[in-house]
Amino acid sequence: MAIDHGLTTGFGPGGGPASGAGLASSISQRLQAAGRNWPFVVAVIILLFLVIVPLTLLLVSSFRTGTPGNLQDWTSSNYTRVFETPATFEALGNTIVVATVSTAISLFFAIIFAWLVERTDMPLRNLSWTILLLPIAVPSILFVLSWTVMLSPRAGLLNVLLRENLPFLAAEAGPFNLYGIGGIIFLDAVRGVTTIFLMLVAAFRLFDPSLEEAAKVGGANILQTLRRVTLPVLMPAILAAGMYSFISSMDQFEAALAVGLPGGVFLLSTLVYFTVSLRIPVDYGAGAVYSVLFMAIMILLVLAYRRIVRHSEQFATVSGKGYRPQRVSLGPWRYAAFALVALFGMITVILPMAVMAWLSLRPLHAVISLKSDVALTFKNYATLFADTEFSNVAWNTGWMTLATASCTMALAFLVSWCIVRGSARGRGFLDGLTFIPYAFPGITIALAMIYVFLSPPFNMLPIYGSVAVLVVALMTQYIAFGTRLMNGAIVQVKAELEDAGNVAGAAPLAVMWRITLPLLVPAVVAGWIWVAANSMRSFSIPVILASRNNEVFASQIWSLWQIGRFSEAAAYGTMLVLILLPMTLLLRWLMVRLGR
Amino acid sequence: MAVLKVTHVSKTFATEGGRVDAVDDISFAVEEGEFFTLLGPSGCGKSTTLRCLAGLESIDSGEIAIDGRIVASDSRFVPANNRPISMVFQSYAIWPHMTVMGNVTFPLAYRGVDGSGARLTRRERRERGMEALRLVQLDELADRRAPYLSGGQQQRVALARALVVRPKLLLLDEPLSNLDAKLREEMRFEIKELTTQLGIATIYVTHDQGEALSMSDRIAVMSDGRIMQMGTPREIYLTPVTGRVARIVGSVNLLGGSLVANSRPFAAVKTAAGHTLKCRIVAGHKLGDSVDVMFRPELVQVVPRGPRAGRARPAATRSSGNKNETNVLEAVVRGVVFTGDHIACQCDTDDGTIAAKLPPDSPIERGDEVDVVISAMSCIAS
Repeated sequence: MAIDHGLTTGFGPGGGPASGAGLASSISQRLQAAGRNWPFVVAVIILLFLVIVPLTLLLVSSFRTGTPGNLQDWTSSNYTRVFETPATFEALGNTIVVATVSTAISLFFAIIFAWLVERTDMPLRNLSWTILLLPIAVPSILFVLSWTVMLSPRAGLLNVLLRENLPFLAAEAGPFNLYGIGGIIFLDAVRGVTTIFLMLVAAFRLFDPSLEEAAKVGGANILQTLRRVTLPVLMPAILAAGMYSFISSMDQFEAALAVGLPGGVFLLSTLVYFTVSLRIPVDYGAGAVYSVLFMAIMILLVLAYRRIVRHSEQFATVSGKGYRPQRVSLGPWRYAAFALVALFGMITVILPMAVMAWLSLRPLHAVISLKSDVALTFKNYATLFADTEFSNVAWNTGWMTLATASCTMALAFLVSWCIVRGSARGRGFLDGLTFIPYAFPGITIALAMIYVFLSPPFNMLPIYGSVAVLVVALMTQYIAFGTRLMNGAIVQVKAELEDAGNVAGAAPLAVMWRITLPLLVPAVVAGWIWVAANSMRSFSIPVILASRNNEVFASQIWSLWQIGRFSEAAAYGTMLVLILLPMTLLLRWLMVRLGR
Repeated sequence: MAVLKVTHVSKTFATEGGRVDAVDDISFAVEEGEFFTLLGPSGCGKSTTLRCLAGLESIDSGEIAIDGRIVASDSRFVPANNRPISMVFQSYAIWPHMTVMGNVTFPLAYRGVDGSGARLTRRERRERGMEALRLVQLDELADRRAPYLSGGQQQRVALARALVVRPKLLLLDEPLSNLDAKLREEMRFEIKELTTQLGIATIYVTHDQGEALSMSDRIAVMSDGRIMQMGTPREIYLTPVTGRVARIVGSVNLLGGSLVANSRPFAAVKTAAGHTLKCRIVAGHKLGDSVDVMFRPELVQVVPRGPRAGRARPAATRSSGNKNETNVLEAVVRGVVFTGDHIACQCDTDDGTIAAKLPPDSPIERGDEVDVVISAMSCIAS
């Protein structure tokens, strides 16, 4: 007779409709259904742990006295205390000003760069692409610290150079002072350009050139065409990118910490940090309240962002057909255009890295000055490599990076698979869960993790103070990105390819393993590298969660810098960039392949 | 024993506009070696039916039994991977990350051959794979990567992948719709020949009446989730039970009228313009019912009327022996389109326009006065 295609596991032998066997088969059928749903169940449990547990604990703690792991009475005093402090509103105002102004500036330059690279005859466009991408390889904290070396008011290298060569300047300090809100805005704006550029460049590439040509035929010149046709048509994409960048600016921490605090300027992120780490005594209650407020604002922004993005998807003007649009001829201005890109490269990568490399080659306690004629030496590196502290930090960084990238992408694949292929009800739920972390500033994730792993039952896990806590926190931060990427990739795998595997006899899990996953390799790899690179660069989470046993490159650079061991910090930084550089280029290459 | 038995199966989808009956109480059985086609326009439920058979969709009510075993009913659902079937998809669903051989041998790793469930060694699998590829004449491409195949080749790989396990039941979901016209014609015969040769029961889903008629042993014509008519290609084509079925299987002329005589072998229908047409009739009508008289354009003869034939003769029925009765209507040729293998001709009668498909050498011109002649045998009233 027929095959019993492995059915013996699901039903009684032969599956006869005998009485009693009916009940048994109905139970086993239900078990089987639950078994089929295990990816969904696993995904939900992990996401609840990563997202809902920290969120809830933070919210609860904002209404309790005491410290993490030792919460006391219920109270609303944390909120009164916070709202009675003028610093709260000052920080909020500063944060909004910084985010608004710096986003406006980066948007302006990003649009120009995207247009130059994709739609004009600017020379060296491929090189320009790379220049615009490279800032990703430079961790924010290194970028910010190197600029403090160049532009601190008294000893800043550039300031000194300017004062020496331009006699009309004051002799003591200036002309530039990076420490203050202007400094934060400058650094944040420059850093923001790359993100927006990457988000916009595809829209500029796929933009239907006949729209522009029609304007030209109608008698408009380049600028008029850009202003009256190109930009309005691309407005939804620009708005979405701007909003995204605004949200990241709200969250920004490095510049606020390194140039804001010394200048006495607080942003929300540094206010949280100050309240739970620097202030004496620390005030966890207020820290939780700030975090809750911070997240409330972020959630509103993220919701607004979602609306905009949904709108921009309807506004599809891109034709997507692979034809080469006519490029706008810039005439002699094309060299000026490239010079602008080159200047951007100088500011974001070349100068900072030159400063870092130079610092790393100087003797340990030499005063930072261009004048002092100390000989450069590799001695710092030699000392570092011989040091167990360095090998610990390197070990921690490596395993944090590998674990975060692997776990995040594995979870992202699982979640996305459930979202794309699962039932409609589960889909919305999971989608919502993975979107919440977008509204989680890194600083609040870190604080929440302190609460989670110092409270029962999680304090029984030996996680707090180890590298694992960094991995968990970073997973929470990057899962949103990971699932977005995987959603897009899985949608592109035709369902019939999976059906065919199913019909060929492979159970759903075998289909996932042998068909879906192999087809997603490029996307998984790209996502993996993205998460890995971002974990290595991540700053706020390692710094807040830092302890003796889990220092990584980023937190180590900061702690060395604070105690004046600049050369060593710079050596760490230089090495980090040398690792990130090839990863960034590889990522770009993969993304280009994926886009095809 | 029937390889497939479908009993009162229904399937409803919840959509934004409410619930849609995708499959509405259908029943049929398919015998060993039979080529059975579900024919219907898009959205008629034929693909959903197929996916229910495959186990890719669950059913809401009814029962499906394959090879004597119930695979779907109220209390039981056997998923696709545990049903003794193979399927060829509309998009072929060739896995691009594998070679041709990898694609073809994939089912062997899970199903074994002949439903034995026995695990095969790598070598045995490759041999079986080659065998299947030889069937579709692709053995030379065994180690080629799947993306480097033409559409026709992908189609063959999909077929080989379906046949490699020698399934009891082969499901084909519009397998030819993505091929160009010439290749489609070729593959029609190839598929039919292969399934006959291997003695596999085949369910074929298509919206192309040409494919359905030329390949099938039996056809079920579907519309709105129901089976409207089931029968051999000839029955379906020559004796459609409704105008709808007639239109799904080919082009058709429809003349409305009312039943005036229900006699044997031919009934009589009086048209709006007062002509009486002799025709066969679908059971279940009584005198006075309004009915449609259907006849195919290619069964219409158009006879030029010479000056001699100019006598007025309202809708005559020429009677020369019982079976050979014909209906004759006067008409003027309104349009003639020469297409090469036939002439498409539009004739205006006082009961409306009648389309006729004439041999390419017919001496018919626009404006000719003609007699339209239709044998009573080819007219169906329903």
